[in-house]
Amino acid sequence: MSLTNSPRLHSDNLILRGPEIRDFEPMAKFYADAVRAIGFGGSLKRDEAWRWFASNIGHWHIHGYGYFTIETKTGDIAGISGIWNPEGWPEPEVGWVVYVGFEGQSIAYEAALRARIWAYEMLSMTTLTSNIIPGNIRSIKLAERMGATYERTYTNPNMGEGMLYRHPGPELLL
Amino acid sequence: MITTNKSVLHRLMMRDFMPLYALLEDRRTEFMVGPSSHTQNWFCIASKVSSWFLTGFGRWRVARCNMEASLFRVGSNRPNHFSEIELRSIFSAHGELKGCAFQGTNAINEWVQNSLGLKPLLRHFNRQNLQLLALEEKLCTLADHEANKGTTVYFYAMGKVQ
Repeated sequence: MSLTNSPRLHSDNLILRGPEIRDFEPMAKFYADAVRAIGFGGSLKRDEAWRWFASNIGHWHIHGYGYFTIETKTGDIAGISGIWNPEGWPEPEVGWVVYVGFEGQSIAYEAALRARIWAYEMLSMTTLTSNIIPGNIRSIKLAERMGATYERTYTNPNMGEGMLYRHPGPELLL
Repeated sequence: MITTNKSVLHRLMMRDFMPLYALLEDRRTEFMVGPSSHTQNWFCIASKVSSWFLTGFGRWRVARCNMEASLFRVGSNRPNHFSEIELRSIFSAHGELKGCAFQGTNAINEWVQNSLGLKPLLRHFNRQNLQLLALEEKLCTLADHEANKGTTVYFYAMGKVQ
């Protein structure tokens, strides 16, 4: 059962849907991995991961958008992607996380593209960014593959120093 | 909505953000690992808003009857790693010494038991939190001394003393 009013989005190979309670375990597992979580604010203990999970649900109710859970067409939970703009963020961003075992399949790319188009089409957003910590080469490459360009470096309240990438706007994509 | 003769309790909603920021950035949060930054508090409140959707229960905003000013928030909570549902509350200066904390806490406990059919709530808190300790004593709650061994936390079972 969805915990939010999130739509269910489809792409060629994926389904993006609102968070459900069964999504917590893979999220907690991801956050327990210090190496993988470093690009997403750093490792979190299980109770802290729960708060993040709950915050994402709150984010949906506050803003009407947030992180979708990425499901493959076979029903596997592969990661999260969506639009994120909590207090302290410079502006809404497209974000992504792919869980272990699902890399190398363009899942983050396909999901982030779908979330970005949804934000432009349905939320009427006029621009989007991605906040990436320096050294996160995989995310930088993905942002650039999506057509985003480096704009500036700033201090993010959760992530510390962050590189802000600007995505092409709806006038170029729709 | 729950009404007592002194206060009105509403589910925590987005309009409550601003008064909650003021509460969470106050020194009163010292026993809640606060005060915290605006961003940390945003995440905290967002997670509390979601509790209603995750569990069917959550935090309430308490206001005095016929007044908009928020007195405190109180409610039930059960993060994933907690074995039982616990009672949490934070009081503003306006909410103290008016009986609203006493009535509001009682009202939440009754609601949880009568409407949800759940057991009496537990609350664990720092033993140095003397105001909360005084409230629990006024509520005639039962101390769980077993849970209290070797810790700095009181573990109270809500409910009338038999």
